[in-house]
Amino acid sequence: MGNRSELTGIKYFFVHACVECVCFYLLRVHYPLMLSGAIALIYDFFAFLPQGLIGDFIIRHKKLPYETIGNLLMLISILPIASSVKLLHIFGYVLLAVGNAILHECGAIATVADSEGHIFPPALFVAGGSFGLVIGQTLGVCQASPLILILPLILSELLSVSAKASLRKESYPHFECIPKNISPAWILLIAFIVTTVRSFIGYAIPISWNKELWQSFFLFFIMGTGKALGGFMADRIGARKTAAIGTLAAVPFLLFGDRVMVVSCIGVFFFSMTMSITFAMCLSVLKRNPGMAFGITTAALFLGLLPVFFVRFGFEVNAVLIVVFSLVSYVLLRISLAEAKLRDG
Amino acid sequence: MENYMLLDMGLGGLVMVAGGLAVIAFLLTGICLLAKSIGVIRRELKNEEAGADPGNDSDHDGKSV
Repeated sequence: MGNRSELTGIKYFFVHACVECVCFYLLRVHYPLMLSGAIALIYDFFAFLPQGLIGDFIIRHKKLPYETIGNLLMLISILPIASSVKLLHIFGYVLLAVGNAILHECGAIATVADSEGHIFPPALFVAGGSFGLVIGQTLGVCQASPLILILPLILSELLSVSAKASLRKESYPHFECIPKNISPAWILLIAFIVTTVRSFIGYAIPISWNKELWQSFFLFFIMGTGKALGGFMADRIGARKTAAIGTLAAVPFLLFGDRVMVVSCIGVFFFSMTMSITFAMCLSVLKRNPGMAFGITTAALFLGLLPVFFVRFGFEVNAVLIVVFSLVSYVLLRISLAEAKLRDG
Repeated sequence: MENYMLLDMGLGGLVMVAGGLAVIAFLLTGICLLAKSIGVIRRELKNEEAGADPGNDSDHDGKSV
């Protein structure tokens, strides 16, 4: 893997962290409860669902300054969100979500373009979100001054613009982690289903140990590290073996870690490793459109978290769901991923 | 519900209708996004099958994950 691919991954790691810091600050400053209400649903709807179409547009119309547009939308959204008129908040959150979506797609496309066929740079980009989320969330709940948002917005703009050539490349490296005897449409459907169920599982993981602020920080740190390392391991030992660790090995730790932080965090770490696998599957099919490939995973993420807005289950039901969905994910990934080929660093 | 005051003002029904329309608009937007995305995916799959852009094939770094 060349220095450029890692550098783009690192840049967009920080861009993603800054973006999520801004977004979750603005989400929590008015509405501190997790997943409460129509606001969160509206935000997630506009942040996750249109990404594929936005990415497709970016790939077909390369000349527009998408990085600046995304950051500007996030900046502009602060005004309606800060207003005392609650209806304007909704408008502001829609602007924020669209800005977020644009920058996500910039990150996905740029890191894939420079990746040389490795999934680690995109995984590194995605990992940044976990760190930014917990920082922004904490600042918002603590009602920190909104002036603090200037720093992540400037940093996001500088770093994303510095990688603008990567976003505008004419061709992309090929990913080939899928077997040739399965229809591409089935591969996309499997990747979509696996991402959806794992998005849902993410909210079913029992973490009653999580009571202190530092524990939340540690949890999200572990999550981000797992996502990055999943991409690293997929490049080294293959997507299939990484998927087995991420699906099966995680289960006992997730189930028995409800009151034990270390056990739970090991489970979350393993669980997070699978994130890059499904993205690599989509990239293996949609070789010329990494934007839509990423958009499939984000749409699946939204669908997976949608039920959580309407229904919550008890510990026993969640435990059964974690086991069943993990097994289903493992089986689906096992049949849809090719055997690994050893590769050089 | 918090719209008791609105009900007293005779606006409760209006809020319900507006809320219902918002939900319908939401659902329709979601369906449109989904349909458009499926259209793009189908286009891309057809392009992949047809090998529509031979210029890309000579540029890629074929690697396996």
